[in-house]
Amino acid sequence: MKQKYEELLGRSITGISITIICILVFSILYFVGAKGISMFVSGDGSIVDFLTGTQWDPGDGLVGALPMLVTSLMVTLTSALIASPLALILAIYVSEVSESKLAQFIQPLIEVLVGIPSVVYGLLGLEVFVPMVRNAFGGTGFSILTGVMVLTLMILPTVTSLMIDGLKAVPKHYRTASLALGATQLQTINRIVLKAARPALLTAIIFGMTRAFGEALAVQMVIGNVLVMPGSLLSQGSTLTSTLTMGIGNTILGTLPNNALWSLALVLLIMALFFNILIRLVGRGGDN
Amino acid sequence: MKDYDLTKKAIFTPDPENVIIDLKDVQVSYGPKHISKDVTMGFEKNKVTALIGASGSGKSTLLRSLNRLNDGIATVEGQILFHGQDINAKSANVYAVRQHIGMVFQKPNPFYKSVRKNILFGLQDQNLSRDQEDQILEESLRQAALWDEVKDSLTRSALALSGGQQQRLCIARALALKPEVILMDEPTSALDPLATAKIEETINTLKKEHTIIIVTHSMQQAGRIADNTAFFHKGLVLEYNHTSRLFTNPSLEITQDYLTGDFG
Amino acid sequence: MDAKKINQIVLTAIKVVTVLVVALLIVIIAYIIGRGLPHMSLHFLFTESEAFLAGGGISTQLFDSFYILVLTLIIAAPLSLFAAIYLAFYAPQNKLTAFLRMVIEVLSSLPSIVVGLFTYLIFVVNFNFGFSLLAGAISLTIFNLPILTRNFEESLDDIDEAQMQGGLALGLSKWKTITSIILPAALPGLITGIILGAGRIFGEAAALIFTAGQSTSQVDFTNWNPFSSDSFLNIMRPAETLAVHIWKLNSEGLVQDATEVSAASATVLVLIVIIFNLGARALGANLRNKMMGDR
Repeated sequence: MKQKYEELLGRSITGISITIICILVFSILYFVGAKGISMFVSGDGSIVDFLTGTQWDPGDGLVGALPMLVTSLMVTLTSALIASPLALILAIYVSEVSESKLAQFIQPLIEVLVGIPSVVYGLLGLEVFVPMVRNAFGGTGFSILTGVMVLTLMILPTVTSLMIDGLKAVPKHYRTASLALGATQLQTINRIVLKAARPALLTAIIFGMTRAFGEALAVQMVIGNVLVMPGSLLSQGSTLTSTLTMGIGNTILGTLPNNALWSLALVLLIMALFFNILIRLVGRGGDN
Repeated sequence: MKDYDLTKKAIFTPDPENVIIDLKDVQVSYGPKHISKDVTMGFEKNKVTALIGASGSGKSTLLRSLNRLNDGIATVEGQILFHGQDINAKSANVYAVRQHIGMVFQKPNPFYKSVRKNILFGLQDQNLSRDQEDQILEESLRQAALWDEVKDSLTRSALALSGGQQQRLCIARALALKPEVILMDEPTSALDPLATAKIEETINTLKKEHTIIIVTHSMQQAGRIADNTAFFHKGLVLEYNHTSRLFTNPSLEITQDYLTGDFG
Repeated sequence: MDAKKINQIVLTAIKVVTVLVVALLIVIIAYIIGRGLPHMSLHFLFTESEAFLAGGGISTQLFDSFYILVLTLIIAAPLSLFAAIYLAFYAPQNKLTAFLRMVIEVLSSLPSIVVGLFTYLIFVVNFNFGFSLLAGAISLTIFNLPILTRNFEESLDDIDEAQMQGGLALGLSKWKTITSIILPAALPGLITGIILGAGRIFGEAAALIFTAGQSTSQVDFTNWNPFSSDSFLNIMRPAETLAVHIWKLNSEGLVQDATEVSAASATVLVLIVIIFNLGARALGANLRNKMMGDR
């Protein structure tokens, strides 16, 4: 029967495709995992030093990654802290406050900004933010603060776009019911809409943090790439990703300096999984 | 709701000579949930049989079992004999069954293609000549009373037709395969009265050459077009008879109450 | 203060902040595009880049960006389309399917540099591809599989279940129904999905620097033999895309006019991405209208 054959064909092609994707994901987890722990397994570097040490010079056996961890977390959290409220305000404006031309213009604008490649944001940081920080605070202008500015700008559109979707998903009658009870628009937004959309809003923020934490080039271009414990937002620093970007090309596969970099990649991977789980937990909170 | 005795049934047995589809103890279930139970009845050839009953009574689910459209969705047990062959058997050729027993759905579902391609879509494997195709195209559209309206726009998108035209297109699409039986699942529920009347007219002419089994939520419709009518309740077929008999003189109290609207 | 007054004040504040932020964003876009415009010319677009001297163009980078995009889509589009078909039409509702979806989500959350490193390790080094367009395309494929699969699945889900029923009722196999009825019906959405993905692929750099490489080889645009090492069609030659070029110029560029070249490159990159974005929507809407016919 021709149809039986077609059915088998369809099942096979689609089944194989999804299997290939799964194999790819597990290969990534396995190989990055294996390379990432090889330094600890071989005993060339200890995991305690890696997580608590502040000296990074794998050529000399120093594998303290704490400065990078701290810097990565610092730029991620700070940029999320600045971008999220702004994104929320924009999203509330578009979804709740106004149907003006401006509101209709914001969404396509945001979508264009979401599509702008991260190196372009990096370039913008280099040409605008670095001189800006230099003029305001002295020094070179390359700093954690500059990195934060670039990341904030980069994740703002993504977070805004997701938040708009989240607010718009709240059914209309929630609002009309609240307004009918005499609540002001602000009270309605605050007590009803934001509450109903909370899981979606949190997901948007975590999503932005995932992007910020994993961004490599844009940050590397403006942060200074100095491997020291950050003293303040104005000090230069180096994130996990920027260290990786700078280092992989200059080390030889299989040596300690190279393996140490793979351990950084493993940290990135684990953080990505962590953010993923976080999004799941937040999403589940919405079901209840 | 009154307590009816659901063990009482009044099912008429048509002359075996005239039976085209014969159901024996057909059960349909989604997992542990039984939708249709113990359905045993015969459908007469070249007649219109209506299945009526409240929504959720299992009539649509049963209908979809008759051409194996429940495959992969629900479990269908029992025998469905089509010309004496059990088409519900695992070994039956599902695709051939569906070509012999066509179906028209509740919502018109023309494909995103031209009128012409819609009609000929099921015939691709038959390697027909252009002339044969044209002939079937015209014939099917005429049978569905759509030819005059679309003959000048056969290459236009079928989605540009009105709702009623779309549904007649779907009937023509089923007819193109020259099926013996056509199943119709509330085919007029999405249409206005005028379009409904046209479809009913079409059904009346179709029964000369086809057997039609139609699920309808409208008793008036069953009264207008059906030769036989079966009343479903909670997955059971309780009463089945000639439409005139069932409507004027039902055997069961529950059927009587349903017909007079004194139900639930 | 009463609730009404607070309401007024806060809503006004929201408006003011919104106007300020939007103004800032517009200035930024205008700055990015405007800054490169003076340096843009046909000469710039169609001349090869210079390593040290001023006056070079971006012809090879531009070509390689499109070439790697095409290669990526050749691998990624069928793979994710079939995966999407599986999820939309074949996957049973069980734990395994939920697990498959979770796996794809995990992939979508991985940083591009990690995906790039994986591809570097397996394909560039172990499979001995070297820095090559092909390795870059594989890296971009892996990185973009989740988003393409999601886009495709959404467009397939948009098609009414009745279409599937209609095909099956004619005695067609499920596969035939999917390929000949549902895919054509979903075409506008599928194409929009591909082009939106293309915009993302076009601008990606981190997944490429260790896979496609960071330098352009000598490329001969008149050599049509894809197996020849200097042919522009050779997929095993290293390549530097436009996005990587911008990064490279600014992190260790030695060219005299690096600032001008990168500004103009960024303008080109952003304009192309915007064209992809707007084009995807316009094309999708256009196809949809055509398909529905005029009533």
